[in-house]
Amino acid sequence: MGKINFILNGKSVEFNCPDNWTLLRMLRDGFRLTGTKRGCGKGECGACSVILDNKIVNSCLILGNQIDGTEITTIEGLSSNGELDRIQQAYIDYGAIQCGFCTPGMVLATKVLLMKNKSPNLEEVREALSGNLCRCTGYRKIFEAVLSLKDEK
Amino acid sequence: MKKFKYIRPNNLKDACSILKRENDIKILAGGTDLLVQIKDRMKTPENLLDITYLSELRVIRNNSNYLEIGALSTHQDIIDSDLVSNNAGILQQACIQIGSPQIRNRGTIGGNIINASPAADTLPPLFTLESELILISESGERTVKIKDFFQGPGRSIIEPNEILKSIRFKKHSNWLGHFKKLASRKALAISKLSVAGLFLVNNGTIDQARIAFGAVGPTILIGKDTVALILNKKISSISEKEISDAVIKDISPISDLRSTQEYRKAITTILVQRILQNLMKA
Repeated sequence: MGKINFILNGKSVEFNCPDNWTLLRMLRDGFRLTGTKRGCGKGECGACSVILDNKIVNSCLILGNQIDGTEITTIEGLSSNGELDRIQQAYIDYGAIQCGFCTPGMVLATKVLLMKNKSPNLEEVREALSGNLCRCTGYRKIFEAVLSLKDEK
Repeated sequence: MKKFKYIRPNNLKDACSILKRENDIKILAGGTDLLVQIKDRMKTPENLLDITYLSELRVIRNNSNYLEIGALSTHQDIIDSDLVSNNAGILQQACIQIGSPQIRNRGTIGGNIINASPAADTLPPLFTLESELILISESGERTVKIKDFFQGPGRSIIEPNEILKSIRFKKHSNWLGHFKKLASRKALAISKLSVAGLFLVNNGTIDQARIAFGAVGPTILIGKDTVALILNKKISSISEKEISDAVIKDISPISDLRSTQEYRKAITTILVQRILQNLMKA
């Protein structure tokens, strides 16, 4: 389709994306942003989740060319000046990471939840993370990490 | 993924003329099913027409009688719409239970219809709403009743040069709707079976009823016998055995990778019973 332009982790970028590349492949092979993981490739596991215009999406089910003119945030876009985002720190503090493969997607789904809802309850956390599968920790520590970020006001 | 040519039309008119001109072309309208089918090589189109960003097809609007949902409205758009919650809450109940937040943000109601899965969750509610589908091509528009649209799993009467433009149905603000489904887990699981029921109830008596079943036949099935059984009756007077007999006449499930025929029959009956129990509480 020719060059596309979009905002990637706060910076304006352009890319000549092959028609049959997914957004996931473009991020990993095109931009070398390998924090976004390829899991099932079918929209079932959420390991490839990224934030597209403030919404959580599976980057394996979007074509690279489809993101022309949009804004994408990957896990690499969360930390600033070497400082982790408070969501990332909470996952560490609560032992919510075991193998780490699902973590980027989980953290980004958490980010979107907290953008819309500053004090989610357990049910809302479970719902917001229902598109992200973890096969190690059994979710409890992940939910605890997210709930610790509640705005207590 | 196998190679294809990605085509993005500027507007609906443009999309219709490309569709007429090109052979071996598929429409991308969300992509949560189609891209998986292309990856699995179940579909191998030479051209992909991406209509996802045609905002004219992503509008939910109403007039005094009808609600019209643009085919490219995502499941999340429908969940967020006050017009839908006031006039077709049953459709929202189904959309909330689809896939995951990620899928609901991309998957569209038009894609769910055209994919024509017997297990598609938006379809039983759309049947109970007696929806009409508006199809557009370069030569004009036509309107088809949803009950006449599907021919079998993955098959419908849409022509290769047509695009589903919108879904239209009468407002059902006073009706009580219930959608229930059963799947292996709550999120990210395709329904083993589903039931939608839409009712007008007056003092515990069912004045009007429409019931539709998903994933228990080659397409969505309408609950004729079940409706005949419950119509003009006090809900409390209908026995479980009567419900079971009627439901089993209405459905024709098979055994497949997701469930067995026997289980589907048993659970479909139970979901209908639960819907009627919910109606009594209302």
